[in-house]
Amino acid sequence: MSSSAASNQESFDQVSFADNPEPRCACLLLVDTSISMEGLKIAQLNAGLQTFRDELMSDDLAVKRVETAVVRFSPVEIVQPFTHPAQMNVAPLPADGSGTPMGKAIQTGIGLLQERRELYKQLGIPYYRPWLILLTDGEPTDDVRRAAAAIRAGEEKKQFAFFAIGVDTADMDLLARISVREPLRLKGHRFREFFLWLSNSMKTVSRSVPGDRLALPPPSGWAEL
Amino acid sequence: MTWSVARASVAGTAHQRKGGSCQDACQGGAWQRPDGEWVLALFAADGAGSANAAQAAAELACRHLCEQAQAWATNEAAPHAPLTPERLREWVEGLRERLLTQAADNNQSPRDLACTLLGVVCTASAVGYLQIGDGAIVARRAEVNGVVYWPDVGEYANETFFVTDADSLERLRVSVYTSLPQGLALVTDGLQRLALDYGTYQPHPGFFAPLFARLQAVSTEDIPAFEHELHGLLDSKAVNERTDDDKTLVLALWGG
Repeated sequence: MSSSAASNQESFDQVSFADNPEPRCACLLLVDTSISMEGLKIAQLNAGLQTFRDELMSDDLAVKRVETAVVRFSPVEIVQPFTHPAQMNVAPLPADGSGTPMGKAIQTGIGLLQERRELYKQLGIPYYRPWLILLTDGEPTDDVRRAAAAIRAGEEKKQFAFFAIGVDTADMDLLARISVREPLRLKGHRFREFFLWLSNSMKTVSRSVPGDRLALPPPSGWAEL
Repeated sequence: MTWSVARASVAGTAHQRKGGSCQDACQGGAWQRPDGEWVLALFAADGAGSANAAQAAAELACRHLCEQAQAWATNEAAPHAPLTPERLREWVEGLRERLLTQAADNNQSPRDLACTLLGVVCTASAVGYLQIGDGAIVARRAEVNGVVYWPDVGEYANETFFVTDADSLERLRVSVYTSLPQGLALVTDGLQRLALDYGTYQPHPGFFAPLFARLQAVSTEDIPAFEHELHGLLDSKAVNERTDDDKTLVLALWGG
Protein backbone atom coordinates (compact mmCIF):
# COMPACT_ATOMS: atom_id res chain seq x y z
CA MET A 1 0.00 0.00 0.00
CA SER A 2 2.67 2.45 1.02
CA SER A 3 4.84 1.54 -1.95
CA SER A 4 1.95 2.06 -4.34
CA ALA A 5 1.18 5.40 -2.72
CA ALA A 6 4.81 6.39 -3.19
CA SER A 7 4.79 5.41 -6.85
CA ASN A 8 1.53 7.34 -7.34
CA GLN A 9 3.16 10.38 -5.89
CA GLU A 10 6.12 9.92 -8.16
CA SER A 11 4.09 9.71 -11.35
CA PHE A 12 2.01 12.77 -10.42
CA ASP A 13 5.22 14.69 -9.86
CA GLN A 14 5.93 14.16 -13.50
CA VAL A 15 2.83 16.05 -14.55
CA SER A 16 3.90 19.40 -15.97
CA PHE A 17 1.86 22.31 -17.25
CA ALA A 18 2.00 24.06 -20.58
CA ASP A 19 3.89 27.33 -20.48
CA ASN A 20 1.43 29.60 -22.24
CA PRO A 21 1.53 33.40 -22.18
CA GLU A 22 -0.86 34.87 -19.63
CA PRO A 23 -3.86 36.70 -21.07
CA ARG A 24 -3.27 40.45 -20.95
CA CYS A 25 -5.45 43.21 -19.69
CA ALA A 26 -4.41 46.59 -21.10
CA CYS A 27 -5.14 49.75 -19.12
CA LEU A 28 -4.32 53.10 -20.67
CA LEU A 29 -4.31 56.27 -18.58
CA LEU A 30 -4.71 59.67 -20.22
CA VAL A 31 -3.59 62.14 -17.61
CA ASP A 32 -4.09 65.91 -17.68
CA THR A 33 -0.80 67.56 -16.67
CA SER A 34 -1.68 71.11 -17.66
CA ILE A 35 -0.57 73.84 -15.32
CA SER A 36 -3.96 73.92 -13.59
CA MET A 37 -3.11 70.52 -12.07
CA GLU A 38 -0.11 72.03 -10.29
CA GLY A 39 0.36 71.64 -6.55
CA LEU A 40 -1.64 69.26 -4.41
CA LYS A 41 -3.60 67.77 -7.33
CA ILE A 42 -0.60 66.54 -9.30
CA ALA A 43 1.08 65.35 -6.11
CA GLN A 44 -1.95 63.27 -5.22
CA LEU A 45 -2.27 61.98 -8.75
CA ASN A 46 1.38 60.90 -8.69
CA ALA A 47 0.92 59.19 -5.35
CA GLY A 48 -2.20 57.54 -6.77
CA LEU A 49 -0.23 56.09 -9.69
CA GLN A 50 2.22 54.63 -7.19
CA THR A 51 -0.67 53.10 -5.20
CA PHE A 52 -2.07 51.67 -8.43
CA ARG A 53 1.22 49.96 -9.23
CA ASP A 54 1.69 48.65 -5.67
CA GLU A 55 -1.84 47.24 -5.62
CA LEU A 56 -1.35 45.41 -8.91
CA MET A 57 2.00 44.07 -7.69
CA SER A 58 0.30 42.56 -4.65
CA ASP A 59 -2.09 40.46 -6.73
CA ASP A 60 -0.90 37.09 -8.13
CA LEU A 61 -2.87 37.27 -11.35
CA ALA A 62 -3.03 41.02 -11.93
CA VAL A 63 0.75 41.31 -11.68
CA LYS A 64 1.09 38.88 -14.57
CA ARG A 65 -1.79 40.14 -16.66
CA VAL A 66 -2.36 43.88 -16.34
CA GLU A 67 -0.33 46.11 -18.66
CA THR A 68 -0.45 49.83 -18.11
CA ALA A 69 0.47 52.75 -20.35
CA VAL A 70 0.37 56.44 -19.46
CA VAL A 71 -0.10 59.32 -21.87
CA ARG A 72 0.08 62.83 -20.48
CA PHE A 73 -1.21 66.09 -21.91
CA SER A 74 0.13 68.64 -22.38
CA PRO A 75 2.41 68.25 -24.13
CA VAL A 76 0.93 65.03 -25.53
CA GLU A 77 3.58 62.54 -24.58
CA ILE A 78 3.69 58.78 -23.98
CA VAL A 79 5.35 58.82 -20.58
CA GLN A 80 4.93 55.08 -20.10
CA PRO A 81 4.50 52.61 -22.99
CA PHE A 82 2.52 49.45 -22.12
CA THR A 83 4.32 47.50 -19.45
CA HIS A 84 3.88 45.11 -16.52
CA PRO A 85 3.36 46.57 -13.04
CA ALA A 86 6.92 45.68 -12.00
CA GLN A 87 8.38 47.72 -14.84
CA MET A 88 6.03 50.65 -14.46
CA ASN A 89 7.90 53.90 -14.07
CA VAL A 90 6.08 56.05 -11.56
CA ALA A 91 8.45 59.02 -11.51
CA PRO A 92 6.30 62.04 -10.60
CA LEU A 93 4.70 63.76 -13.56
CA PRO A 94 5.15 67.54 -13.66
CA ALA A 95 2.09 69.76 -14.16
CA ASP A 96 3.72 72.23 -16.47
CA GLY A 97 1.80 72.01 -19.73
CA SER A 98 0.22 74.96 -21.35
CA GLY A 99 -3.11 74.06 -22.91
CA THR A 100 -5.20 70.91 -22.68
CA PRO A 101 -4.95 69.05 -26.01
CA MET A 102 -7.44 66.38 -24.96
CA GLY A 103 -8.45 65.42 -28.49
CA LYS A 104 -4.91 64.68 -29.54
CA ALA A 105 -4.23 62.77 -26.31
CA ILE A 106 -7.31 60.56 -26.80
CA GLN A 107 -6.35 59.80 -30.39
CA THR A 108 -2.79 58.98 -29.32
CA GLY A 109 -4.17 56.65 -26.66
CA ILE A 110 -6.54 54.86 -29.03
CA GLY A 111 -3.63 54.43 -31.46
CA LEU A 112 -1.48 52.89 -28.73
CA LEU A 113 -4.29 50.49 -27.81
CA GLN A 114 -4.72 49.42 -31.41
CA GLU A 115 -0.99 48.73 -31.74
CA ARG A 116 -1.12 46.67 -28.58
CA ARG A 117 -4.09 44.66 -29.80
CA GLU A 118 -2.25 43.93 -33.08
CA LEU A 119 0.79 42.76 -31.12
CA TYR A 120 -1.34 40.44 -28.96
CA LYS A 121 -2.95 38.99 -32.07
CA GLN A 122 0.40 38.54 -33.80
CA LEU A 123 1.89 36.73 -30.80
CA GLY A 124 -1.23 34.68 -30.14
CA ILE A 125 -1.64 36.18 -26.66
CA PRO A 126 -5.21 36.12 -25.37
CA TYR A 127 -6.47 39.45 -24.05
CA TYR A 128 -9.31 41.15 -22.25
CA ARG A 129 -11.18 44.20 -23.41
CA PRO A 130 -8.80 47.12 -22.74
CA TRP A 131 -9.71 50.14 -20.62
CA LEU A 132 -9.04 53.74 -21.57
CA ILE A 133 -9.21 56.26 -18.73
CA LEU A 134 -9.23 60.02 -19.05
CA LEU A 135 -8.41 62.16 -16.00
CA THR A 136 -8.80 65.90 -16.50
CA ASP A 137 -9.54 69.07 -14.56
CA GLY A 138 -10.03 71.33 -17.54
CA GLU A 139 -11.62 71.76 -20.89
CA PRO A 140 -9.97 70.86 -24.18
CA THR A 141 -7.99 73.48 -26.05
CA ASP A 142 -8.12 71.45 -29.26
CA ASP A 143 -10.88 69.99 -31.44
CA VAL A 144 -12.23 66.82 -29.81
CA ARG A 145 -14.74 65.85 -32.51
CA ARG A 146 -12.53 63.21 -34.13
CA ALA A 147 -11.56 61.83 -30.74
CA ALA A 148 -15.23 61.63 -29.73
CA ALA A 149 -16.09 59.80 -32.96
CA ALA A 150 -13.21 57.35 -32.38
CA ILE A 151 -14.47 56.67 -28.83
CA ARG A 152 -17.98 56.04 -30.08
CA ALA A 153 -16.74 53.71 -32.82
CA GLY A 154 -14.43 51.85 -30.44
CA GLU A 155 -17.18 51.38 -27.84
CA GLU A 156 -19.62 50.23 -30.49
CA LYS A 157 -17.21 47.59 -31.76
CA LYS A 158 -16.37 46.72 -28.15
CA GLN A 159 -12.71 47.46 -28.86
CA PHE A 160 -12.25 49.17 -25.50
CA ALA A 161 -14.13 50.68 -22.60
CA PHE A 162 -13.68 54.45 -22.18
CA PHE A 163 -14.08 56.16 -18.79
CA ALA A 164 -13.89 59.92 -18.27
CA ILE A 165 -13.13 61.27 -14.81
CA GLY A 166 -13.48 64.99 -14.17
CA VAL A 167 -11.58 66.78 -11.42
CA ASP A 168 -12.59 70.13 -9.88
CA THR A 169 -13.46 72.53 -12.65
CA ALA A 170 -13.55 69.92 -15.42
CA ASP A 171 -16.14 70.56 -18.13
CA MET A 172 -18.50 67.68 -17.29
CA ASP A 173 -20.91 68.52 -20.12
CA LEU A 174 -18.15 68.18 -22.64
CA LEU A 175 -16.99 64.90 -21.10
CA ALA A 176 -20.56 63.64 -21.36
CA ARG A 177 -20.53 64.46 -25.07
CA ILE A 178 -17.35 62.54 -25.84
CA SER A 179 -17.89 59.54 -23.54
CA VAL A 180 -20.51 56.87 -24.18
CA ARG A 181 -20.50 56.01 -20.48
CA GLU A 182 -21.54 58.73 -18.05
CA PRO A 183 -18.46 60.67 -16.89
CA LEU A 184 -17.85 60.75 -13.14
CA ARG A 185 -16.59 63.64 -11.06
CA LEU A 186 -13.85 62.96 -8.54
CA LYS A 187 -14.97 63.68 -4.99
CA GLY A 188 -12.53 66.33 -3.75
CA HIS A 189 -9.07 65.14 -4.60
CA ARG A 190 -9.58 61.46 -3.89
CA PHE A 191 -7.04 60.28 -6.40
CA ARG A 192 -5.88 57.55 -4.03
CA GLU A 193 -9.39 56.11 -3.69
CA PHE A 194 -9.83 56.35 -7.44
CA PHE A 195 -6.63 54.41 -8.15
CA LEU A 196 -7.54 51.81 -5.50
CA TRP A 197 -10.85 51.33 -7.29
CA LEU A 198 -9.09 51.11 -10.64
CA SER A 199 -6.63 48.49 -9.42
CA ASN A 200 -9.49 46.48 -7.88
CA SER A 201 -11.39 46.70 -11.15
CA MET A 202 -8.31 45.53 -13.07
CA LYS A 203 -7.96 42.62 -10.65
CA THR A 204 -11.58 41.69 -11.33
CA VAL A 205 -11.22 41.94 -15.10
CA SER A 206 -7.91 40.08 -15.23
CA ARG A 207 -9.35 37.04 -13.48
CA SER A 208 -12.68 36.95 -15.23
CA VAL A 209 -13.55 33.82 -17.17
CA PRO A 210 -16.03 33.18 -19.95
CA GLY A 211 -19.59 33.66 -18.83
CA ASP A 212 -18.77 36.01 -15.98
CA ARG A 213 -20.83 39.13 -15.68
CA LEU A 214 -18.20 41.54 -14.40
CA ALA A 215 -18.99 42.70 -10.89
CA LEU A 216 -16.84 45.83 -10.65
CA PRO A 217 -16.48 47.51 -7.27
CA PRO A 218 -18.78 50.54 -6.84
CA PRO A 219 -17.07 53.91 -7.44
CA SER A 220 -18.79 55.39 -4.37
CA GLY A 221 -15.49 55.90 -2.50
CA TRP A 222 -14.21 58.48 -4.96
CA ALA A 223 -16.97 59.65 -7.28
CA GLU A 224 -19.71 62.18 -6.76
CA LEU A 225 -22.79 60.13 -7.53
CA MET B 1 -15.75 -3.81 -21.49
CA THR B 2 -12.22 -2.63 -21.89
CA TRP B 3 -12.35 1.13 -21.38
CA SER B 4 -11.05 2.43 -18.10
CA VAL B 5 -12.38 5.86 -17.18
CA ALA B 6 -11.42 8.28 -14.43
CA ARG B 7 -12.78 11.75 -13.81
CA ALA B 8 -12.42 14.61 -11.38
CA SER B 9 -14.21 17.94 -11.12
CA VAL B 10 -13.01 20.56 -8.65
CA ALA B 11 -14.41 23.99 -7.76
CA GLY B 12 -11.99 26.80 -8.61
CA THR B 13 -10.46 28.79 -5.78
CA ALA B 14 -12.54 31.81 -6.83
CA HIS B 15 -15.73 29.80 -6.20
CA GLN B 16 -14.33 28.22 -3.05
CA ARG B 17 -13.58 31.69 -1.65
CA LYS B 18 -17.13 32.84 -2.29
CA GLY B 19 -18.45 29.62 -0.78
CA GLY B 20 -19.84 28.59 -4.15
CA SER B 21 -19.81 25.15 -5.66
CA CYS B 22 -18.32 23.78 -8.84
CA GLN B 23 -20.26 24.79 -11.94
CA ASP B 24 -18.57 22.15 -14.08
CA ALA B 25 -20.26 18.80 -14.53
CA CYS B 26 -19.22 15.57 -16.16
CA GLN B 27 -20.97 12.28 -16.70
CA GLY B 28 -20.21 9.14 -18.62
CA GLY B 29 -21.69 5.78 -19.33
CA ALA B 30 -21.00 2.49 -21.07
CA TRP B 31 -23.74 0.33 -22.50
CA GLN B 32 -23.90 -2.90 -24.43
CA ARG B 33 -25.72 -2.73 -27.75
CA PRO B 34 -28.18 -5.51 -28.65
CA ASP B 35 -25.44 -7.14 -30.77
CA GLY B 36 -23.05 -7.18 -27.81
CA GLU B 37 -20.91 -4.25 -28.95
CA TRP B 38 -19.95 -1.75 -26.22
CA VAL B 39 -20.60 1.97 -26.43
CA LEU B 40 -18.74 4.50 -24.30
CA ALA B 41 -20.03 8.06 -23.90
CA LEU B 42 -18.37 10.92 -21.98
CA PHE B 43 -19.76 14.42 -21.52
CA ALA B 44 -18.55 17.52 -19.71
CA ALA B 45 -20.16 20.94 -19.41
CA ASP B 46 -19.01 24.21 -17.87
CA GLY B 47 -21.81 26.36 -16.46
CA ALA B 48 -21.30 30.07 -17.17
CA GLY B 49 -19.95 31.92 -14.15
CA SER B 50 -22.73 34.44 -13.81
CA ALA B 51 -25.58 32.19 -14.87
CA ASN B 52 -28.00 31.74 -11.96
CA ALA B 53 -28.57 28.07 -12.61
CA ALA B 54 -25.15 27.30 -14.10
CA GLN B 55 -24.51 24.20 -12.07
CA ALA B 56 -27.97 22.76 -12.68
CA ALA B 57 -27.63 23.51 -16.40
CA ALA B 58 -24.25 21.80 -16.69
CA GLU B 59 -25.56 18.75 -14.84
CA LEU B 60 -28.74 18.63 -16.92
CA ALA B 61 -26.68 18.90 -20.12
CA CYS B 62 -24.50 15.92 -19.21
CA ARG B 63 -27.47 13.88 -17.97
CA HIS B 64 -29.55 14.61 -21.05
CA LEU B 65 -26.79 13.63 -23.46
CA CYS B 66 -26.08 10.46 -21.47
CA GLU B 67 -29.77 9.53 -21.66
CA GLN B 68 -29.76 10.09 -25.41
CA ALA B 69 -26.62 8.01 -25.86
CA GLN B 70 -28.04 5.23 -23.74
CA ALA B 71 -31.39 5.23 -25.54
CA TRP B 72 -29.62 5.03 -28.87
CA ALA B 73 -27.13 2.36 -27.79
CA THR B 74 -29.69 0.08 -26.17
CA ASN B 75 -32.52 0.52 -28.68
CA GLU B 76 -33.68 -3.01 -29.53
CA ALA B 77 -35.83 -1.68 -32.35
CA ALA B 78 -32.83 -0.21 -34.18
CA PRO B 79 -29.89 -2.31 -33.04
CA HIS B 80 -27.63 -1.16 -35.85
CA ALA B 81 -28.49 2.54 -36.00
CA PRO B 82 -25.18 4.13 -36.99
CA LEU B 83 -23.41 6.90 -35.14
CA THR B 84 -23.65 9.94 -37.42
CA PRO B 85 -22.98 13.69 -37.06
CA GLU B 86 -26.72 14.23 -37.66
CA ARG B 87 -27.58 12.04 -34.69
CA LEU B 88 -25.19 13.94 -32.40
CA ARG B 89 -26.60 17.21 -33.67
CA GLU B 90 -30.14 16.02 -32.87
CA TRP B 91 -29.12 15.24 -29.30
CA VAL B 92 -27.74 18.74 -28.84
CA GLU B 93 -30.83 20.28 -30.46
CA GLY B 94 -32.95 18.30 -27.99
CA LEU B 95 -30.77 19.46 -25.12
CA ARG B 96 -31.04 23.08 -26.21
CA GLU B 97 -34.83 22.84 -26.32
CA ARG B 98 -34.90 21.21 -22.91
CA LEU B 99 -32.74 23.98 -21.40
CA LEU B 100 -34.89 26.70 -22.99
CA THR B 101 -38.09 25.00 -21.81
CA GLN B 102 -36.71 24.69 -18.31
CA ALA B 103 -35.74 28.37 -18.34
CA ALA B 104 -39.24 29.36 -19.47
CA ASP B 105 -40.89 27.10 -16.86
CA ASN B 106 -38.82 28.68 -14.09
CA ASN B 107 -39.19 32.26 -15.30
CA GLN B 108 -35.51 32.38 -16.08
CA SER B 109 -33.76 33.69 -19.15
CA PRO B 110 -31.83 31.26 -21.39
CA ARG B 111 -28.70 33.05 -20.15
CA ASP B 112 -29.37 31.70 -16.64
CA LEU B 113 -28.80 28.18 -17.96
CA ALA B 114 -25.76 28.96 -20.12
CA CYS B 115 -23.15 26.23 -20.33
CA THR B 116 -20.53 24.93 -22.74
CA LEU B 117 -20.46 21.34 -24.00
CA LEU B 118 -17.87 18.65 -24.67
CA GLY B 119 -18.80 15.12 -25.71
CA VAL B 120 -17.41 11.87 -27.09
CA VAL B 121 -19.29 8.74 -28.12
CA CYS B 122 -17.19 5.73 -29.01
CA THR B 123 -18.33 2.40 -30.47
CA ALA B 124 -16.22 -0.48 -31.77
CA SER B 125 -16.26 1.04 -35.24
CA ALA B 126 -16.70 4.80 -34.91
CA VAL B 127 -16.05 7.74 -32.64
CA GLY B 128 -18.15 10.91 -32.56
CA TYR B 129 -17.17 14.25 -31.06
CA LEU B 130 -19.24 17.31 -30.24
CA GLN B 131 -18.37 20.69 -28.75
CA ILE B 132 -19.84 24.14 -28.13
CA GLY B 133 -17.60 26.85 -26.68
CA ASP B 134 -14.33 26.42 -24.88
CA GLY B 135 -12.64 23.50 -23.17
CA ALA B 136 -11.14 20.72 -25.26
CA ILE B 137 -11.29 17.06 -26.17
CA VAL B 138 -7.94 15.37 -26.66
CA ALA B 139 -7.72 12.16 -28.66
CA ARG B 140 -4.76 9.85 -28.27
CA ARG B 141 -3.82 7.52 -31.07
CA ALA B 142 -0.65 5.45 -30.66
CA GLU B 143 1.95 8.02 -29.67
CA VAL B 144 0.23 10.84 -31.50
CA ASN B 145 -2.07 13.15 -29.60
CA GLY B 146 -4.35 15.79 -30.96
CA VAL B 147 -6.89 18.37 -29.87
CA VAL B 148 -10.17 17.54 -31.63
CA TYR B 149 -11.44 21.13 -31.71
CA TRP B 150 -9.47 24.10 -30.45
CA PRO B 151 -11.41 25.97 -27.69
CA ASP B 152 -13.98 28.23 -29.35
CA VAL B 153 -13.58 31.67 -27.79
CA GLY B 154 -14.58 35.23 -28.61
CA GLU B 155 -12.12 38.04 -29.21
CA TYR B 156 -11.55 38.56 -25.50
CA ALA B 157 -10.15 36.09 -23.00
CA ASN B 158 -13.37 36.16 -20.98
CA GLU B 159 -15.76 35.37 -23.85
CA THR B 160 -17.03 32.06 -25.15
CA PHE B 161 -20.20 30.47 -26.52
CA PHE B 162 -22.97 28.52 -24.82
CA VAL B 163 -25.61 25.92 -25.70
CA THR B 164 -28.29 28.44 -24.85
CA ASP B 165 -26.99 31.13 -27.26
CA ALA B 166 -29.32 32.02 -30.12
CA ASP B 167 -26.81 30.76 -32.69
CA SER B 168 -25.41 27.82 -30.73
CA LEU B 169 -26.42 25.21 -33.31
CA GLU B 170 -24.30 27.04 -35.89
CA ARG B 171 -21.47 27.09 -33.37
CA LEU B 172 -21.86 23.37 -32.66
CA ARG B 173 -18.97 21.32 -33.98
CA VAL B 174 -19.62 17.61 -34.61
CA SER B 175 -17.66 14.90 -36.41
CA VAL B 176 -17.65 11.15 -36.66
CA TYR B 177 -14.52 9.19 -37.56
CA THR B 178 -13.93 5.50 -38.15
CA SER B 179 -10.37 5.53 -36.86
CA LEU B 180 -10.67 4.95 -33.13
CA PRO B 181 -8.62 6.67 -30.43
CA GLN B 182 -6.82 4.61 -27.81
CA GLY B 183 -7.25 7.30 -25.24
CA LEU B 184 -9.53 10.27 -24.68
CA ALA B 185 -9.43 13.25 -22.40
CA LEU B 186 -11.92 16.04 -21.77
CA VAL B 187 -10.81 19.26 -20.09
CA THR B 188 -12.93 22.29 -19.25
CA ASP B 189 -11.59 25.81 -19.68
CA GLY B 190 -10.19 26.03 -16.14
CA LEU B 191 -7.55 23.55 -17.24
CA GLN B 192 -7.15 24.34 -20.90
CA ARG B 193 -4.26 26.78 -20.53
CA LEU B 194 -2.37 24.22 -18.42
CA ALA B 195 -3.13 21.23 -20.63
CA LEU B 196 -2.87 22.71 -24.14
CA ASP B 197 0.06 24.38 -25.84
CA TYR B 198 -1.17 27.61 -27.45
CA GLY B 199 2.02 27.94 -29.47
CA THR B 200 1.72 24.61 -31.31
CA TYR B 201 -2.05 24.01 -30.92
CA GLN B 202 -1.22 20.58 -29.46
CA PRO B 203 -2.00 18.95 -26.13
CA HIS B 204 0.87 19.53 -23.70
CA PRO B 205 2.53 16.09 -23.56
CA GLY B 206 3.95 16.74 -20.11
CA PHE B 207 0.40 17.02 -18.82
CA PHE B 208 -1.31 14.07 -20.52
CA ALA B 209 1.46 11.45 -20.89
CA PRO B 210 2.05 10.86 -17.15
CA LEU B 211 -1.72 10.82 -16.47
CA PHE B 212 -2.44 8.26 -19.20
CA ALA B 213 0.55 6.20 -18.05
CA ARG B 214 -0.82 6.15 -14.50
CA LEU B 215 -4.35 5.27 -15.63
CA GLN B 216 -2.91 2.45 -17.71
CA ALA B 217 -1.32 0.96 -14.59
CA VAL B 218 -4.45 1.28 -12.42
CA SER B 219 -6.71 -1.73 -11.99
CA THR B 220 -10.49 -1.29 -12.10
CA GLU B 221 -10.89 -1.54 -8.33
CA ASP B 222 -8.26 1.16 -7.80
CA ILE B 223 -10.03 3.71 -10.04
CA PRO B 224 -11.75 5.46 -7.10
CA ALA B 225 -8.36 5.92 -5.39
CA PHE B 226 -6.91 7.23 -8.64
CA GLU B 227 -9.82 9.67 -9.01
CA HIS B 228 -9.16 10.83 -5.47
CA GLU B 229 -5.56 11.56 -6.45
CA LEU B 230 -6.70 13.35 -9.62
CA HIS B 231 -8.92 15.48 -7.46
CA GLY B 232 -5.87 16.29 -5.32
CA LEU B 233 -3.86 17.22 -8.38
CA LEU B 234 -6.60 19.54 -9.68
CA ASP B 235 -6.82 21.21 -6.28
CA SER B 236 -3.04 21.41 -5.79
CA LYS B 237 -1.14 24.63 -5.19
CA ALA B 238 0.64 24.28 -8.54
CA VAL B 239 -2.71 24.22 -10.37
CA ASN B 240 -4.41 26.86 -8.23
CA GLU B 241 -1.56 29.30 -8.82
CA ARG B 242 -2.40 29.20 -12.50
CA THR B 243 -6.16 29.15 -12.49
CA ASP B 244 -8.91 30.04 -10.06
CA ASP B 245 -11.68 28.67 -12.26
CA ASP B 246 -13.59 25.39 -11.92
CA LYS B 247 -11.75 22.56 -13.61
CA THR B 248 -12.79 19.16 -14.85
CA LEU B 249 -10.68 16.34 -16.26
CA VAL B 250 -12.02 13.11 -17.72
CA LEU B 251 -9.56 10.44 -18.86
CA ALA B 252 -10.42 7.25 -20.74
CA LEU B 253 -8.11 4.53 -22.03
CA TRP B 254 -8.88 1.62 -24.28
CA GLY B 255 -7.44 -1.48 -22.68
CA GLY B 256 -7.35 -3.45 -25.95
